[in-house]
Amino acid sequence: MPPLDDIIRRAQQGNRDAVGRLYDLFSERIYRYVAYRTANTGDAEDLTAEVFVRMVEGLPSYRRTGAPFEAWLYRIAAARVADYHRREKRRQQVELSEGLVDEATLPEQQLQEQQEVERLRRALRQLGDEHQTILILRFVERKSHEEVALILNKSVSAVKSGQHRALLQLVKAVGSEAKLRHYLRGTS
Amino acid sequence: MTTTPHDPDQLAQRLDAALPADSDAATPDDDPLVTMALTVATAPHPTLSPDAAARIRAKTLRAYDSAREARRVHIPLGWAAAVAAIMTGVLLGLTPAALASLPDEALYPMKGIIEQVEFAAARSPEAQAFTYLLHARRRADEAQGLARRGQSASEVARAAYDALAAAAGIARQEGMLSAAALSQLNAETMAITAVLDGIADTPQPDASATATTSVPTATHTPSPTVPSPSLTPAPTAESNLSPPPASAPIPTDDDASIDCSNPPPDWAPAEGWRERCESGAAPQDNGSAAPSGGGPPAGVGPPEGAGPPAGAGRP
Repeated sequence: MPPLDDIIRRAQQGNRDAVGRLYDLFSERIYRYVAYRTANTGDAEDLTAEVFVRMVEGLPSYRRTGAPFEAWLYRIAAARVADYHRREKRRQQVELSEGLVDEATLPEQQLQEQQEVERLRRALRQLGDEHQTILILRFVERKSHEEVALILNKSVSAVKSGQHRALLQLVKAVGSEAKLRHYLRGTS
Repeated sequence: MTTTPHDPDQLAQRLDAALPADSDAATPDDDPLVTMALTVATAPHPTLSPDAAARIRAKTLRAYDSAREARRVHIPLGWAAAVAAIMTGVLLGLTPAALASLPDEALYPMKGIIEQVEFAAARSPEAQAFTYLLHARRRADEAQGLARRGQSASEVARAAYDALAAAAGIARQEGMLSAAALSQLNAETMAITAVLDGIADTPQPDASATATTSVPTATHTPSPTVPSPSLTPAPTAESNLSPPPASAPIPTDDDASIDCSNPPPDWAPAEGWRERCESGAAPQDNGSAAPSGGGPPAGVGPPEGAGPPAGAGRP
């Protein structure tokens, strides 16, 4: 497999296959990032498409810096997600918390797991943008502190501090979610 | 016992141990923060369905094709715009130099183009008259420049007179120009004529060389082959530029004021002299005195209503 720099250079020179290769390399992780940060699958897919459209539009002017190529993509994705939330706020749309999963067709155990996962994601979305990004990059994408620092253009110690605060807030948010669920179950 | 590290570095170390980077390994830890991180890491992650992946891939490549096509169109347009901007800049930058150029200089042809544009832009008779005057002024300046170099100025001097005659031709058409414009034209014409007269009085450095040229030089140096030309224009400013009164129509070929004994030089507008005097139908000599210098008779201008074309007045 040619090194990433070579693929990027060929994509910039007008090689369509190289663009397809970039998509294949990064589409899954960008989708994961976007999906964690949005409420439903359809929106996540649309936003992922937006990210890659922006990527091809920006490729000619992309210049390699100290940060990896995916840092650029994550920045595009973060901007798209922020824009999406601004639009959603204006529309005051009720969050489709369960996504496209038809819970009625799932076995009870699977349904319970699905609900737990959704609760976790919902709690995650309550965090600030940067804290969400740190946790997704660190624990979903399993990137090192140094890699996250490069992607976010921050120092490693800032990433560690952010990670610490983000986990504390997430624990609190999940606890609040659990209490709310328990309360709703008890009163229904 | 549950311990919660409050130091970000300690937490980072424990997380690195429990969840090594770039690995799927996950080692349980009793710290609630590490446990929460493990929960996030081990939870099922959203995945892009094959259909959605293919759809987004196709959309990405379509966008890539469109962007590439748009760049193909924009690059030539961008180049054309850049070239046009450079050309405009160069032309604008060269304009003053071109306008100051003399006939034997490289930029002189550009001067002709600029003057054609100036004439084309002059829509009203008044504007056209003043454009002719402007060109006459430039020819006079060129004649001065050439004379200073010791070069023949007769061509440009003749062009200056042609331009003055063209301006006068417009001025003589009744009602074309306001009184103020006429007055200004007269003043300008006299000033230009004075300049040309001044050149005529300037002795040329090499009279014998000028005597051999077929075109009269802008001097009073007698020449054995060509009549000594005068740079004094035939009409005076007053007589030529003021609209003629109803009782004094503009002289025509039939006018008895044409003096056949006083031929215009080759380079000067004949204004009907040759037609009347060389065809044998010369009117009787009315004895009017020729203007000093031997130019065409006073009051003779360009043919009525026949102004020179745009660019006239060029050497």
